[in-house]
Amino acid sequence: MNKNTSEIILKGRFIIQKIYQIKISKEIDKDELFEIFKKKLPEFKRGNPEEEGFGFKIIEIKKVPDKFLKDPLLLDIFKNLIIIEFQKEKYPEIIIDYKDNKPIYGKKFPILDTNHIFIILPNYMIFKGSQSNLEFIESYVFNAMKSILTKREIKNV
Amino acid sequence: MFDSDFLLWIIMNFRNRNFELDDNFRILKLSDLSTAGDERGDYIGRKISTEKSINVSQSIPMLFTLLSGREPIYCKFAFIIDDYSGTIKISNDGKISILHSFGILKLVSPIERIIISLHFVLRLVDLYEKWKNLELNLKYPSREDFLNIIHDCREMGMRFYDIQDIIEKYRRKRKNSV
Repeated sequence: MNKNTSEIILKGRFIIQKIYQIKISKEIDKDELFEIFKKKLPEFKRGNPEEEGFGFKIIEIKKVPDKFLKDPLLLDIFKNLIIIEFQKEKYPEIIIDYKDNKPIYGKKFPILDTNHIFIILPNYMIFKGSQSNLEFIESYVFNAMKSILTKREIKNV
Repeated sequence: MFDSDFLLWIIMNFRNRNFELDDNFRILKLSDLSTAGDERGDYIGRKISTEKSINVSQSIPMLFTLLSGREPIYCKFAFIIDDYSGTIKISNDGKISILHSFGILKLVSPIERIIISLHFVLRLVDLYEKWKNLELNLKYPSREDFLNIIHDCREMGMRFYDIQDIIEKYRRKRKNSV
């Protein structure tokens, strides 16, 4: 397995924030788009409280679940799906030391926010996860698609 | 955003027993609803929510808020789409939450859950597109729809609950208190 890809682990509820209808300029297939994202989206790098780490991972699912083979609707989505995972560090203020029995607060250890972007070729792009990093993620993903994207329109408006 | 009137359309269809919103897209249960509006100098309040009603489209408090001109801001319903059951909450801010604790999604692997959830989302987006293009007299509720609400409220509101139980309950508490 490519070090860039892995099976997906989903936690929590399935919350969709935004749905785009997209159009891609030329006949670009899933594999090509896959390569574009792998080349243009930065991989995750650890950061620090001053510079929070973030990054993307393209998730590849190798094995088709048996159930999909029986249902063309689901198989169709599966075949045309690219999943991108985005993670960003956040450093909450915690107690890092004590002085004269009084706590000293600071930022030391990160927690990770995770979002997923589902691209269902040829027309849909669905953003899942919390709202907080949405604009940041959009700017990266749409920038990566700059040369091939001819139209994008928010659909849940 | 999903237009509040789209949510209202779902509610009115459910009230009118048109459960089949689209081909193979059937609403089973409408349980949660929240409405909001500008302050109108009445006592209802700006935002009102009801959760876990057996049928929120027949909930008197919620029907009152609709008659007052408040608009749906979110609703939650159980459905069957293409033979897959689920529960979804949609908001007028565009947010869609799919619950994993109900229906097919409780039983399947993570990747199946993703694909089925995405299928639900695509069907919903498709339904929203269809609603946007509906003829206006189908898109928005009719006079009869609102008169029916008043009729239902009168019918349900005139009924007094049997208050013997609650009187008894507090009578016992009063007696037991020191």
